[in-house]
Parts: sequence; structure tokens; C-alpha cells
Amino acid sequence: MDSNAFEAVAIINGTKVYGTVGLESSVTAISNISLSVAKGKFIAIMGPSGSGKSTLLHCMAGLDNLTEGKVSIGSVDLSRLGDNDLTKLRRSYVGFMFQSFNLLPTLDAKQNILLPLTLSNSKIDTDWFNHLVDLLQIKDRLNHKPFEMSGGQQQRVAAARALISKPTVIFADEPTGNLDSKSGNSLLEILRNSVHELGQTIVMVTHDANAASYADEVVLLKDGQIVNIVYSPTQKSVIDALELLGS
Amino acid sequence: MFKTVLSGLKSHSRRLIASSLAVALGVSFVIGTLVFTNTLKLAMIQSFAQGDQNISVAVLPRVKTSAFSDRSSGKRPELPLSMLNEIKSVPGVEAISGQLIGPAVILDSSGHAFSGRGSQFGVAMPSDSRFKWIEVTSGHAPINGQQVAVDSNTLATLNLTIGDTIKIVGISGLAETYTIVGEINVGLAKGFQSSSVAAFVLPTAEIVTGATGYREIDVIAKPGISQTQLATNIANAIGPSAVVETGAQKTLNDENSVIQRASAFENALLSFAVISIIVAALVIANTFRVLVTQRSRELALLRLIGASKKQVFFSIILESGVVGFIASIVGIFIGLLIAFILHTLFKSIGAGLPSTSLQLSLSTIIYGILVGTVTTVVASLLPARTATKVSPIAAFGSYSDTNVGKGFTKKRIAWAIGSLLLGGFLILANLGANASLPMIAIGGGLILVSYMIFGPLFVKPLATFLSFPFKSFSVTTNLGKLNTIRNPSRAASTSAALTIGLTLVTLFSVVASSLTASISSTILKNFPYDFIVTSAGANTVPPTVVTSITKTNSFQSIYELRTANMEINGISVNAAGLTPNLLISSNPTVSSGSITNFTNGNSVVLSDSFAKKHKFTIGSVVTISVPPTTITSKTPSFPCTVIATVSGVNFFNSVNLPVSVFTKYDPSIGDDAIFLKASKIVPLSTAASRLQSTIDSYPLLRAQNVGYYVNKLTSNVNKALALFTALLALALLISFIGIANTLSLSIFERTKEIGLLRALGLTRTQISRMLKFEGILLATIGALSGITIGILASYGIVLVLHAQGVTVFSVPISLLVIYFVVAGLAGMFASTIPARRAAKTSPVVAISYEG
Ligand SMILES: Nc1ncnc2c1ncn2[C@@H]1O[C@H](COP(=O)(O)OP(=O)(O)OP(=O)(O)O)[C@@H](O)[C@H]1O
Ligand SMILES: [Mg+2]
Repeated sequence: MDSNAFEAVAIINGTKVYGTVGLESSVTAISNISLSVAKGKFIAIMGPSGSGKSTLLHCMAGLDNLTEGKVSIGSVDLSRLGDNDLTKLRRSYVGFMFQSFNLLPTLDAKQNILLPLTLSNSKIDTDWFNHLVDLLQIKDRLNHKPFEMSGGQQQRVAAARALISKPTVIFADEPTGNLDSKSGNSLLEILRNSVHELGQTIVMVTHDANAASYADEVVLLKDGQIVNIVYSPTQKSVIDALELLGS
Repeated sequence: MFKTVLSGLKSHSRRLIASSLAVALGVSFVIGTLVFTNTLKLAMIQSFAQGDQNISVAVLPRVKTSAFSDRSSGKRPELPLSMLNEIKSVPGVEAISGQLIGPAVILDSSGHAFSGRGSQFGVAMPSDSRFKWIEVTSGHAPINGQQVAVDSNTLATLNLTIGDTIKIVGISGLAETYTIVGEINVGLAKGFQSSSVAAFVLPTAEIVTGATGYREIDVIAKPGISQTQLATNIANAIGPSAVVETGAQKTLNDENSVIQRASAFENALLSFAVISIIVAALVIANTFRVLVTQRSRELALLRLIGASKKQVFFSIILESGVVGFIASIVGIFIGLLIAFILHTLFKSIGAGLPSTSLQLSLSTIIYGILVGTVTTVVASLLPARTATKVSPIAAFGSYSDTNVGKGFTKKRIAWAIGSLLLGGFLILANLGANASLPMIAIGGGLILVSYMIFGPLFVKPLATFLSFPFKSFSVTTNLGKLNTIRNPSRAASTSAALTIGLTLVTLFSVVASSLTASISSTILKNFPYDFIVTSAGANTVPPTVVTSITKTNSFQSIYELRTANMEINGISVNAAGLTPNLLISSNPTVSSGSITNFTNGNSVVLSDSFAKKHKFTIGSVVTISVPPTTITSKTPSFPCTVIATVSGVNFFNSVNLPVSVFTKYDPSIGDDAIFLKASKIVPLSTAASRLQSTIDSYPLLRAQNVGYYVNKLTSNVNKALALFTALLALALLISFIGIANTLSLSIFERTKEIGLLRALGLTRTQISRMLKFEGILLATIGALSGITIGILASYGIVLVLHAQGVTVFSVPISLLVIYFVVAGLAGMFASTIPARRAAKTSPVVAISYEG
């Protein structure tokens, strides 16, 4: 399958085995997964604990190598890249958000947001920066260090950092996991707006049906395989699909 | 509890490796010193015993001199030559031999003084091979005045063998040719280590060395006569003028003097070992502090489930005890290795050590274990106390290493200011005429304490200053800088270890450089001479040379300078005898009196500090006496009038006499130097060639310009500096291990952060560069503080030494810059392993949230 112009990230026949293949102690975290995410889509990945969500995300983001299969971001085949090229690709084409420990404790909010640009030596688009900090309501926090901010503020700073370089795709692993529902919802709102208004692509792992309902599609994993996809999800349709998964 | 501790130890044993190594190295210095000096002691004792083995009775000068007495200090009490025959006729004497020793310089094939081995001596060959203080190892002993036996090391170095001829210069300054008939072995115990020794028949030895007496007369008893009986006979015959010892007593006395002498050497080495131990203690304290912080959640959990403060405290102490014990054992092995290397080195430079195996005694082992374990436990006391302060609630919170500095409580500030003031007071109060080194050391220690408390304040500005040149460089250096200042107290205590070492190195360097600069500036300013004639080695310029130079009619000034040990009103001093105009024309700062009458003879000029110390006043008449050269000779003594006191001239001695006085009372003393200014009516080149042809027949003499003379005077200062720096090298090495240690510890706690940076796009190389920059910063912060403190401290010392003639404060800037740059590079090198490990961090760890 050729990567096409509308595709942001794709994994083809991806398998990830932890430990040595064949040994009894080895764990197959994902097996033979194929998934293609089109540009401008917001995808949520759900599934029971241990189903391979994080592993899938890591492999799609090029943080970890597949045991078999291949991944491409934009038109670049990751399996051909060495560590340095992968790193440089991440700088410019990939954004990240994590559940916690998103920010460097030694840098203030503004430095944290601009870090991807600093690393790739890119020019700062001041208008874009101002727009983001307005949108995320962190304008008055820019000179604060992470430990001086609330969890919600920290996650919004992380969102700004993920968006600043206009990456091809943003990977988020339970970005609202540590937030109360109000700040969680406002963050998800922002993520969805960035997809619909700015054409951003987002792949998000979550346990929360409410969070998943902000996405365009919900991919359901079980035992390392895609078992179902819910299109135009609502909270209810996601819960139903999850229940189906459990039975 | 013990089990918890052990499992804790296991789980972070990797984090303790570097700090254990620091302790082990500190211990190894102690062990290495003890093993080496014990081995040396035993070797020397054995060698003495070997030399003394056949001796029944030894006769020594009444004034006790150790077998090691400084040979270069010129004449010392001796037994008169006539005593040999006196003793020979005592009933019961079978064989007798006198130890006759004096300067004799061997020339190499090009006719220059052979300088490959330390000092050079001529001795009288013992009359009987049973006297073992000199042993013929091949060939035979000299039997006439044309023959000589030379020590095997010198022969090997000069590529000479038995049958060859050799040129030797004696007290006359003129070279004579001898035939080599034997190779001799002179034990280290005889004080001849790394010297060249030439043995002659007795009459020749007397002529060559100019010796007027024996240092010792050894006697072998006839069969059937006991040592005590013979000793009594001899004592009765010669009266109380000399000491008579039996062979057994002599062996015992020699042994004691070896032990005494070795202890001084041992203590000097041990004091440097102590510095290493202190630095290692800092590294350990730092490690435990970081471990306690990193484990605060674990500790909180322990407290939550019911561990008492006491239990927490003792768990840390127990842990440090185990670490200290293991490190000590490792240290003992490294110490043995150090001793082995030193021993091999000593042997290979031909120090003539009898082969003895390394002496590792049980007490040495216990000593090493105690030092290592106690140091480690003491160093962990404060961190252990901190651990007890972790509240159980911390089990719920998250831990961040940023800004966990304890802040400046009133108590800490009080401690800091208190120790700064007390330390400063101790140093200032103990400087000056009667300086007390231990008190100054304690003062220095107190200032270090206050530096440790205030240090964190300086970390941020220093780091900002030091990384300024790299500002535009890259994001990695900026991150490195931010990481360094995130926990200033940790950065400060890490670099403090290096600060100690560099403070001392800087101190030595600046004082040495000031000393050198003072000597050279005084000489260059006050001695505008064209040539200075000196002799090679410890020999002096023969008194006859001045007369020959005068006869060339080429010089307008011919000034002599000689020195000798004398007593002034009973106080021993190294007095200078000089041509009066040498003193007058050098324009010394006259504090009181006038030097114009110095030409009058029987007048003495004192240094200001010496006069003050001993309360000599202008116009007072003092008694100068020349110590006896042989025990029966009378002490010549004469009155002199104090005419002036001078200051600021470090070139002269405390007591300065006109050279005529010297000549009058001991005409045999040669000149240390002759200062010459060419006459205006003769071209300089003519004067030079006439001078050269005058001294040509004296192979040891050299006419040099003033710069060379300065070098000769200052070369010992630079040698001492090199030695001090070498002895501090281990402390410096330990402090760099400390830097590596802090970095790897912080990598353990920053794994997620590094993972995050990797995920965001920092390449492995950049991660490694970031850590290397942290290493550079930590090292240069320590170096800069050390160099600064060292300069300040040495300024104080130079001020105090002003009266002793250190008038110039000279900072060897390029040397200090080299120290700084080397420290930076070493810091970078120290961070190599942690940086490599950090670069391996997988970006995935940033996203997994456990821990
Ligand atoms: N580094 C690893 N080594 C070995 N096995 C691993 C490793 N990481 C994950 N696994 C295993 O791979 C499987 C998938 O793990 P993964 O973290 O992807 O699950 P997940 O769906 O993200 O779970 P959760 O919802 O709990 O985060 C699990 O069985 C896990 O134990
Ligand atoms: Mg997961």
C-alpha cells in the first residue's frame, strides 16, 4: 500500500513482541495491526488495560521499533530511518502529550512551548504563538515554571507545545487522565477545534468514553488487535462498544 | 531492619559504586603510604644491620648526628684523624676502620660534572672487607693512590667498566685521573641513596675530600673479647670526648633513627592522604544526600507503616557502614598496588633498596578499614538526619529534585558566619612571626564550612557567567546550565570537592611563583652583574679562584658570597659572608643603623625580622662562633658589633658578615657565588674569554649570566611545587569521580525528563552534549572558586612572608588558566560514562507513568 497525500500516519501489518520472539516469556503487545489515519482526523484508541494501546501509539510515533511491519508518517517510511533521522523527524513532524511529566521542570512555560522550535532551529511564528496562548488561556502563565502551575494549566502548556510546530500528527496518551472533568473537557475541546479548524491530525489513547466522544473515530483494541471501529462516536455508543468488547 | 537495608543496598548498589570508589581511593592512599614506608623502614633497618653485622664497637662524635644528616650542610662534628691510631693500640682490637666522607665529583666523558645521580662523594675504602658499610661487589678495593672503586649504578650510567680511567674533582676544584679497579655497593642505609660514590685508599681520600676527621670509627674485637669489654677498654683510652657504643647498641640506635626519619616522611605523605580522605568524605556525603532525597517516598512509606525516626536513621548509618567497609577492603587492594608501583619505581631509579617484600601488617589493614568505614559513616550522619525529617505524608506527594534546597534558615546562616569569622580570626591570629600551621589549617577548615553553606548562592551567577561564552551555541548548553543550577546546593557540594584541591594547588602555585618572582626581582634589581661564577652540585667555588680572577684585570667589581653555619650569641644560623660592597651596592632598605661601616670588619648586619625576634639592638656587641669541625678543635669565637638591620632583601641571610671575618676564622670555606662586573676599559667579550680560561681548569665551575643564577636558586621551589601538585593529584581525581557520581545520580532521577527530551527531538548526541556541559560547568565552578580562594589565601601568606623577603605577589596567570581549562576538560571527561548512559535512554520511558 502506497502512502497517499491524504494520509498523516499509517501502520501496516504491525507486530510488536517484547522479549525474544518464541520464548515463553515474550509478550506480543500488538499483532498484525494495520491502521491508516487520514490528515485532519481525530482518532481515539480504546481498549482494556494491557490491550496494547500505548504500544501501538509508541510504534506509530517512531519512539519504539516494530518487530514486524512498517509505519509511515506523512510520506516517510520510519523503518528506513536511523535514530538521528527519527529524532529529527519527531522535532518537526510529531507532537506529543502525555498523562503526566509533560514539561521540563527547569524551563518556564514559554520556553517549554517553544522547545520543539528551539531544537530544530526554526523561526518562531509569533502570530501563531500568540494565537495558541490566547486560545489555551495561558498568556499570564508564560513565565511560570511547571511546578508553579496547576495540572490543567500544565496540560494546556503541553498542548501548546504539541501544536506550535504544526506537526503532521499529534500523539496523546491519556492527556486528560490526571485532570478533573471540567479542565479535561476544555482541553479536549481545544484538541477537537485544532483538528476541525486548523486541520491538525491527532491520535489519542484514552480510557474515558467521554474523552473518546470528542474524536472522529474510536478504534477499539483487544489482545493487541483492532476489534472494532466506532465512527462519529458519542459517549453512549462508545460505552456500548466497550461493553460488547468485554463480553 | 537489617534485611531492608541490605535489599535497599542491592537495589541501588550501582548508584553507590562511584562514591565507594572515592572512599576506596582515599583509603588506598593511606594504605599505600603505610605499606610503602613500612617496607622502606624494614629495608633500611636490614641494610643497616647488614652494614653493622661484624662491628664489635663503634665510636661516634659526642654531638649526636643521625646517619642521615644532611650532607650538603657542610662540616659537622667529626672524630680527629689521630684518634684512629689511638684506638688501634687499645688491647683487644683486631681490625679498625674510619668512615671518611667528603665531596668528590665524577666527570663524564665530555669533562662535565656527572649530574645523572644525586650528590657525589668520596670515601675512604675500609681496610678490611669485614667492614660492610661499603662492599666491593666485583674487582677489588683500591690499593694505591691511582686507583678508585666506584658504585655500580654510576659506572653503569657512565658506561664504564673496571680497567677504565675516570676523572674526579675533589676539594681543590681540579680534576685528577684514576683507574677503576672495583665496583662497590653502598647501602641505602648509609645515606648514600642515589648518590655517586668513589672510594679511595685512606690517604688519597683525605686529600681528595679535604676531610679532617671521621664520622665514625668501627672496630672488630679479637676472638674471645666481648663487645662490652672492648667498649670499656676503648672508652678508657680515649676519654669522654667521643661516644663509644657496642655493635648491639649501634644496631639498635640505627634502627631508631631509621624509624624516626621514616616517620617524618610517612607523616608528610599521610597529611596529603588526609586531604584525599576529606574530599572522599564530601563525595560520600553528597551521594547519601542525593539518595535520601531520591528515596524520600520510600522512606515516607516506611515511616507511614510504622518505622521510627531512629530506625530510619540507623538504617542509613548501617548502609553507609557496609558501603564504607566494602570500599575500605577495595582500597586496601588498590593501596597495595600503589605501594608495589612505588617500590618498583624506587628500585628502578637505583635507590639501592635491598629486596624486601611489601610489608602489609594486620594493624595496617585494621587502620585502613577503620579510616574508610568511620569516614563513610561520619559523612552520612547529616544525610541520615535529613532522612529522619521526611514526613510520612510525603508518601502521597510526588517528588521533584528541583528546588529542594533547604533554604537559608537562620541557624545555617549563623553557622556560616560564625565559622567564617572564627576561621578568619584563627588564620589572622596565627600568621606572622610565630605562625602555627595546625591553627591555620583549622581556620581553613572553618572557612570551608562556611563556603559549603554559602556556596549554593554562588552557583547560579557562576554558572551563568561560565556558560556565557556558549550562550549562542545551542539549546543543549542552555539545558545543561539550567540542570546545573536547578539544585544549587547539590552543585555546590559536588564542586566543593574540587574546590579544596584547587585551592591548595593554587595556593602552592601562587606562593611558589611569588617566591620565585621575589628572588629574581631582587637579584635582577640589586645585582646588575655581567657574570656569576658558581660550582656544580653542592660544591663551592675554591677560595683560590677569586685571586686568579683578580689577576685578569678585567673586572671592576669582584664580589664574593659564601655561607656557613654559625652561632650568634648561641643561636644557630646560616650566616652569609660577603664582600662589603656587595651588600652596600645592592641598596637594601636599611631599617635602623647604617651599613656604610660594613667595610670595617667585625661588624654584622642583621635582617630586620631576625633582629626583632631575638631583640638585638644597634651598637650591641654579639659573639659569633664557628662550630667545631672536629671534636677536639676549639671553637673560634669573636665579637662583632651590630651596625644595621635591613629588610626586604630576601637574597641575604639573617646574619651577614664581611667576608674577611669568614676568612679569618675558617679559610677553608669556599664561595657560593662570585659576582662579576666587567671593567669599562675591556670589551665584554674579552672579559668573558679571560674569565673562561681562568676557570677552565676547574671542571665544576661555571660562569653564567644572572638569569641562570636565578634559575639555580629557584629550581628547588619549582621542584617542590611539582611534588605538592603530584601528591594532590589523587584528591583531584577523587573530586572528578564525585562529579561523575553526581551526574549519574541525577540521571537516575531524570530518566523521564531525558526520555521526554528524546521524544521531543533531542538526538542522542545532543543529550550527551548536554550532560558533558553539565560536567564542564560543575568542574569549572569548582575550579574557579578554588582558584579564587587560593589566590586570596596566598595573598595573605605572601603578606605574612614579606618580612622573610617574599616582597612580590605574583599570580602565575597562564598556569592558573591551564588548571582551569584542564579542570573543565576533566569535568567533561568525568561526564562521559553518565552521558553515554543518558544517551541510551529510550524516549518511551517518558510516556510510561509508573515511578
Ligand atoms: N517494555 C515492556 N516489556 C515487556 N512487556 C511489555 C512492555 N511494555 C508493555 N508490555 C506488555 O505489552 C502489553 C501491552 O502493553 P501496553 O502498555 O501497550 O497496554 P495498554 O493498552 O497501554 O495498557 P494500559 O491501559 O494499562 O496503559 C501488556 O501485556 C504489557 O504487559
Ligand atoms: Mg497504556
